[in-house]
Amino acid sequence: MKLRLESVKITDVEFGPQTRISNGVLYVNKEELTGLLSKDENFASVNIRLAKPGDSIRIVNVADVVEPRCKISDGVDFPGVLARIVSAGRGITRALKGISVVLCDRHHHWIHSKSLIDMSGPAAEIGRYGKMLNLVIDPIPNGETGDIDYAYSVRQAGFKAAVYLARAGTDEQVDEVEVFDTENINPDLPSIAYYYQIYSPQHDPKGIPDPIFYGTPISLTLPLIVNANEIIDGAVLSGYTIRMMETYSIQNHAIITELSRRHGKDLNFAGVVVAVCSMEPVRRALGAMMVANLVRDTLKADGVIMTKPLGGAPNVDLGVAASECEKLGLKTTLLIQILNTRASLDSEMLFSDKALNAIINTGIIFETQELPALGTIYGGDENTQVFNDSRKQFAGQPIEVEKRFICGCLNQLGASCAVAVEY
Amino acid sequence: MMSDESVEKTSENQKWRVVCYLNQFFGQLGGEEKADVGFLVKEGPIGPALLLQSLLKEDGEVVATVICGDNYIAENLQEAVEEGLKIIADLKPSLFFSGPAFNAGRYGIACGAIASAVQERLAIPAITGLFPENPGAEMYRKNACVVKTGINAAQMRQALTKMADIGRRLLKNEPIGSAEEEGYLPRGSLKNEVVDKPAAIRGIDMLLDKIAGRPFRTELKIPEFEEIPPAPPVKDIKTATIALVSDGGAVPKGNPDKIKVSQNTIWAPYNLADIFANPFQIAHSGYHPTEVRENLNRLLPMDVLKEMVAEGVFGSLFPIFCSCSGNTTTVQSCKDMGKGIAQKLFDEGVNAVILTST
Repeated sequence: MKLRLESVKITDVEFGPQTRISNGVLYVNKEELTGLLSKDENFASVNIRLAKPGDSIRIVNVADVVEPRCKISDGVDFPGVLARIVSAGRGITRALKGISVVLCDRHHHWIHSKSLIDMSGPAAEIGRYGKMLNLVIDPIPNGETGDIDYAYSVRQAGFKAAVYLARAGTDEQVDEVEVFDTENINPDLPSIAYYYQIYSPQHDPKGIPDPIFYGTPISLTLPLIVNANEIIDGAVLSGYTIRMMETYSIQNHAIITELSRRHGKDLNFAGVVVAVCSMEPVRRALGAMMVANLVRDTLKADGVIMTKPLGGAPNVDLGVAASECEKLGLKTTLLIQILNTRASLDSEMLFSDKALNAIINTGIIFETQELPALGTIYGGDENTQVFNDSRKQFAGQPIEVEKRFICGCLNQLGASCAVAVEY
Repeated sequence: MMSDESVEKTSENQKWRVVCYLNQFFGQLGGEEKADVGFLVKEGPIGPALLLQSLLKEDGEVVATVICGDNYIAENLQEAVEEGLKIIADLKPSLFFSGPAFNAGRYGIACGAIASAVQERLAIPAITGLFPENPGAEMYRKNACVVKTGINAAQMRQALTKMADIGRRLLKNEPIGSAEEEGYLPRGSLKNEVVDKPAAIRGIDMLLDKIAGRPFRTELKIPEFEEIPPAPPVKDIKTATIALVSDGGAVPKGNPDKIKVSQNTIWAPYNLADIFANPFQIAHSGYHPTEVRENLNRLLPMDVLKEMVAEGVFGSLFPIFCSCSGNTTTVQSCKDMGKGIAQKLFDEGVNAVILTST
């Protein structure tokens, strides 16, 4: 598969009479976009707002962040979600860089699924979206729709907005082109595969899984081979209950991007095995065995780099899959996030196989950050509750928040530079 | 690492009061033949404390050196530490040093024990220096600042230099960096730091090193898990009392014991019949509790167990169950909770436990 990603760099965003890009500034016709998104009857109304780095704005109830992208050729926009299912990962995709679409979900949901973005202050320093231009989509629920259907509508709105904005770009405005093509293998270079555990059903509200793979739920799947290009081109979208893995960070997948860029240089990118966390041991053993077989005998890799979402159960799944890989002679490296602050670097792993000796730690998710009150709140109001395990706190106050809830601070796909260090 | 109160000098011209602890040898009383000597206090710096004084310069004055024999302490650790602590408290230091003891076992334990007591009970910054394999190092590194030293006193100057530097900064409330950066043993905390390369690049580079057989440094170490032998089988199941224990977080509505939804450290006993009869909630954020809320038997299978008792499969179902939440719980917390639960049920004559988890 060969994917050409064309980027238009955006340096500012304003509302204007016509949606267009001029000299790097994105002008957005607010009425037109609002009209487009308001067609969804699950919304009573839709607010669209701009948030720029340095603004005293706190965005709460953040459900996802999406990079504006649209398909120019050989594909459709967000297949299975906005359009019929056609393979992603081929042809030309256009992206706007420097700006993202932030989705707010004001429905009364399980509070753990929401994050926040501050455009100034400590959260902006440590979270990538606080440093970007953001177009904030903030619908108001109609008061009747159930939480799962409402969540689906919010996500649809985000993808529609992402496409709408990306279509403002013209061929002449493309600043940068990157080609993702890993077809030729150089036998003199080591071959690396990527194991991508994309989901765990453990938090599925009412047991209903997220439709994250070409708009289809795959929570019971056994391991699959999916082309890396598909993953970054809209085939895989963020799970609703999964933090630290926003759609933006999948579109700009740190590991896939790096492996693709180095393909043919110091490594071959052998391909991707996609998996879902198993909820019980027989399934886990089956999945692990299949991962090892696929990586070694189908992808013909020498080693595999492995990531997972969420917490402990996926950690166990990952460990078992990695152990099976090592037994077949594959070298593994795992990205594991640390949970606790009162801990040491040898107490946070949930497996004891000595072969799993190459671990990258991606930072502590429960470490807290104190944040000042900010002037304006999007996605809620000053009484919107912000999760804190020890006390009730509200968006309009100074708050203390775990880093896993600061959107873009930590990332389980390798994008973040945070590392847990012993003190 | 230190109390949040910043320690102040009484005036600009006065130096901070520093007290040092040494054993009989470094305190210049004698060798092994003096190891039974009890506590004594000498005015000003003695032995290595002189070098420490010169390193502290204007920032501190070693007003006293407390000396004690290694055997005196080792043979009666708890009482001796109490005795020493009182002596040190009366000297009113703002900063305390013990050792460095390098690899000397009894001295190392004494240094660690006294430094910990000073740090924790007097809230005075306490620093010692130990070779990482000194038994005192593992025992006390979480309770006081244990600077890593070489194996013997040939490294005295290096050890004291590090100790003095950290001590000075603790006094002035200046930030202390990570264990590796500063050269002390990890105190049991982790903090996020930001490095140059994102995890993706570090991971790919590490994997390439591993494939090529080049050395690499893992960022997380594999834990050493104990092998716990299983208990012998229940002698007579037909007369056995079985208790339910669960880490699924079932608690009475209102969560009276404040069991945390994650990183929990508390367990509580609740009456089984009551939790079924009255409103309850789930204090656990690692799974979606819809099914359990609909029917608590899915987490605490009281219905089936009662049937089994009626059929004579086992003797009786203990009326109390022990509840906690097991979500991102540290291994240490799990051990502590497990011990508490086991002791309680054992004391009450329970013969076996069914553990339910999610």
